[in-house]
Amino acid sequence: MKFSYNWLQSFFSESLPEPEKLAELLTMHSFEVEEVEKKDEDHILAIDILPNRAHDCLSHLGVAKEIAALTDSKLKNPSPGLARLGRESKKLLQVDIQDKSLCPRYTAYVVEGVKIADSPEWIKERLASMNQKPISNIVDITNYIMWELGQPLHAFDFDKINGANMNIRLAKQGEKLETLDGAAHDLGADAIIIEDESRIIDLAGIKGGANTQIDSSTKTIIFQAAIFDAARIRKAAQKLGIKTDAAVRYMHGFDQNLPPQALERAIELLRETNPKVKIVQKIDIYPSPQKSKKIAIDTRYVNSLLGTDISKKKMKQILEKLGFGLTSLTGGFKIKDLGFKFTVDVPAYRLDIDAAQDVIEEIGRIYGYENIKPIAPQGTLAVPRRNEQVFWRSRARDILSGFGFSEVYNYSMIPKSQEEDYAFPLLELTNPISDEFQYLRPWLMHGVLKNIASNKKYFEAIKLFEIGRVFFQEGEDIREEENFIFALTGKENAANGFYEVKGYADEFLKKLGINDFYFDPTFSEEDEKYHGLLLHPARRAIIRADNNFVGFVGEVHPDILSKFGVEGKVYCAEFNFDKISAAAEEEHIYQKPSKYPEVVRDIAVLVPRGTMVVEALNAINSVSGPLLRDIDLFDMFEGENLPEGMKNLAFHLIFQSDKKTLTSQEVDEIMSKITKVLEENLWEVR
Amino acid sequence: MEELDKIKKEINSASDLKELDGIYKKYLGKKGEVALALRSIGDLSEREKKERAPQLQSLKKEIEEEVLKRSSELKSSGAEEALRGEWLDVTAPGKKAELGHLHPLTQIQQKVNEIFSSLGFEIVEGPELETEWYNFDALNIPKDHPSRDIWDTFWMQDKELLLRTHTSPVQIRHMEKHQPPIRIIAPGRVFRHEASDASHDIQFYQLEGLMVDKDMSVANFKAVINEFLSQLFGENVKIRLRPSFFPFVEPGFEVDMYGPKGWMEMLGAGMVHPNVFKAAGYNPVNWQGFAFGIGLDRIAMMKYKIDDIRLLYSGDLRFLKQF
Repeated sequence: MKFSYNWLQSFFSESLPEPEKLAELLTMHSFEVEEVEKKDEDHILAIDILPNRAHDCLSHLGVAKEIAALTDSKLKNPSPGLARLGRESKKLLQVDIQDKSLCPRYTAYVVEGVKIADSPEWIKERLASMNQKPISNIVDITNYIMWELGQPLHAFDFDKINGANMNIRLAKQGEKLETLDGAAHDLGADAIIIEDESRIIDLAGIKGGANTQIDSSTKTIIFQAAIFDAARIRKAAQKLGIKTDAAVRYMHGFDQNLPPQALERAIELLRETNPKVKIVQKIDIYPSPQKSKKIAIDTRYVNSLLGTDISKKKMKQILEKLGFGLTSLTGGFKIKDLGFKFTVDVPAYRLDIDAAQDVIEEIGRIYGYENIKPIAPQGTLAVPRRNEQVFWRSRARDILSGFGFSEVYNYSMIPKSQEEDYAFPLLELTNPISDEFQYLRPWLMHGVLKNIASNKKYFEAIKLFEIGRVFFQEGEDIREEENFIFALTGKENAANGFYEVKGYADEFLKKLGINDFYFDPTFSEEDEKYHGLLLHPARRAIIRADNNFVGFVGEVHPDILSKFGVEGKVYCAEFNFDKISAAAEEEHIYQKPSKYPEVVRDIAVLVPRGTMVVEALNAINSVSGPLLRDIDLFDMFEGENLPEGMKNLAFHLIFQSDKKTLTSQEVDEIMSKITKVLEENLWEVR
Repeated sequence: MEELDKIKKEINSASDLKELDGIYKKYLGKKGEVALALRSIGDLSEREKKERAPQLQSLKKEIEEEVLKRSSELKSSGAEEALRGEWLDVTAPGKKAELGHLHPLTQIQQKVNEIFSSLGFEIVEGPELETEWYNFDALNIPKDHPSRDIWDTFWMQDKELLLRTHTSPVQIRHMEKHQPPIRIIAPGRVFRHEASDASHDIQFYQLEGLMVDKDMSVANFKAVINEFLSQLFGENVKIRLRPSFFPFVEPGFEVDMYGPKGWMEMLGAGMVHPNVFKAAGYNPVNWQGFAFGIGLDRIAMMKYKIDDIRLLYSGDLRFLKQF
């Protein structure tokens, strides 16, 4: 809220510190002053009133009370005594409240002899400092009181009220009201309204009705200062989309002692232009007055929580400056382990103070956080437990960046249009910010494809990876898991991209200490449903470790690519990283290299095109025995010079013993077994 | 000896191996002068033999040594010459090394994790899809209360779930399962339903910190946060605490750090509210603690002078390859 320096000064006889200095004091001890702006003869302070103090500090009086405590000055109360205001003489109006919870206090004065006029210059000036145009003496007073004391006021033209009864109740569905600004509102079931005998005349706490507004011929008014239920005002204001200054104040609630004070001040101000006005009726419905609060504190706890050594005397001083009352519970004696113990009486306007910690905050901020000296915490020295997920995540990132992949972060939400790419239900937001962010991502692939599409303009070869949470529903369960994806595209990858990405996947898993895994070309019904649609049906594999799904690898389906406008091919591997980090293993056992030479023999087999390399490997392994240390596929060829429908596989077979040098006779024996088993499969050994 | 000096001079003036070979042959070849003299030594008298033989032997040795020396000189200068022919332009660019890039937010998170780990804090994580209880109720943010309006929230369809608006729910989840002393940080992604601009986005990263023990104090918090910010931004940062409000702490404060543009808001913090201890199943009489929350995107933006938060989530390699 904006505050006028001159207005704040009006509460004090002594002069306040310079505006900049005052701003500094407030920032360090109460609320941040965001800006100090010189305006004519005044300075305007933009003060960010904290939400827990909105009930007492969205007013000049509230901030003046803070200033009084900060500068140790005495506050002048602007309200006059009630006695000067005269007695009630008539019974013109009857007010009924249907449900007491709607309106804990209803206070109103019926005032006769009103003459509509311009406000005095000084009031106009104050309103101008709040950027409020002056309207008339009555309307200006309602605004003035709100900014001075924080109490919203409303004025009805008494003669426009039908009948002698006003009733306060909740609106019914379908009821309407035209407010002061001329706008018509459909009132929902949460709005509190006031009605006369025939119609609704006020959207209580938010805006008055046009039907009973003050005009130039108004003679008798009802000045209303009520307290309406905060939660209902908040709901109604949100639903109707009207956030008036009055509504904001009601939402936060305020001191229930305020309404009569506000009315007295209003009458005092009215007498500046209408010296002869008469209060003819006073209404004050206040069935259960606000209870005063007492809180026990002890000096030991105060100093322990703040980490200070503030004396009892100093604490007392601070609290009394803020308007708290203090009673010693220990007769001024110090009690072991507690220090001095007090009961604190909380001022009625401090709705935010409920517990000892709230009182301690008051002591701390006025004492000044800058006066609290840092103290290193004491405790047992312990090495923190390692977070495995964080550790492996960092290891995985290093591996991928070592492979030349760059890391991206995408949004957790994906567009509405992508729903059709999934054969399972996605989790949908109730209030998405736009169609672009409608669902939670079930896989990371879409984000990465979007990145590839947008980077294609600038880069030909792209290698990206991302790690992040994904979300989906499985039966009744909502699942949140961490996934890891890497993807590549580029001219050089056109032919061998699949094997390139598979090679990275292979090395990635091994570097994480996972060795027992394989690439499975068979997709179960479940696999098909969750990620089959995303991949080229003939170029994809499920990666299983210990026979469990840990991820998939493949060429991205051309239909998906064309949706993203990506030309060429994209290859990717996406892992369930929770499963990866659970299987990852840091322990590693060293294998001593053999002292004896290795013998390398090559073998080529002509097999039908559909035969998988793994079948040939399995055949070789079934007869080779322990001396065959490694098999390396160095060529896979089909086409010219080969019979139609066949392909040629060429392997290096590496033989080695760790006990002796192998003779060629020993190797020949194994080779002939291998040749035999391959031929038994009806494959031609070349 | 005069003879020897003359021969040495001749050897050292040989300009290539071929010439040197000619000189060698001239003295020590089959018909070489010195070779012939040595061969004919038997024709001399015993007395002359005694005097002449050692002279010739030594001359032969000296010549051989000198030729060898000269020959290695000539060889190495020839190799040098050949290497000079393999000249490269060292100012031409090197072959591009293809290392990938870690995202700036990853780098900031790793740095922050490292600092807090060295201070004895354990790293814990929690779900991004949260319940209303952990995100609001347990943190002393009541339903239908204006304080809840600070956190604009994404809600899930038909579910009692929301996207967490801060990392503070991790405090509750951790305290439910662990007893003090507690010293944790909880970094992670959070979400806010708000219009995005250069300094706001619908998602960002936060780091929560929590320390609970018998007598944790504001003074302890000041020491820890000062140490953290000093390590992150370099020695001796200047900080200040000023009053602020978060429902889950009391007292609550904002921490500002002094920078080139004056005081900058860095993080929110405070002493854990007794209602939060209660919600986590602690007896608030027994424990005191402080909690804080830092926006990591803002730190990355400050450190790398990034002027638009949305660049972090753009996947633009022209941006990412700079890190």
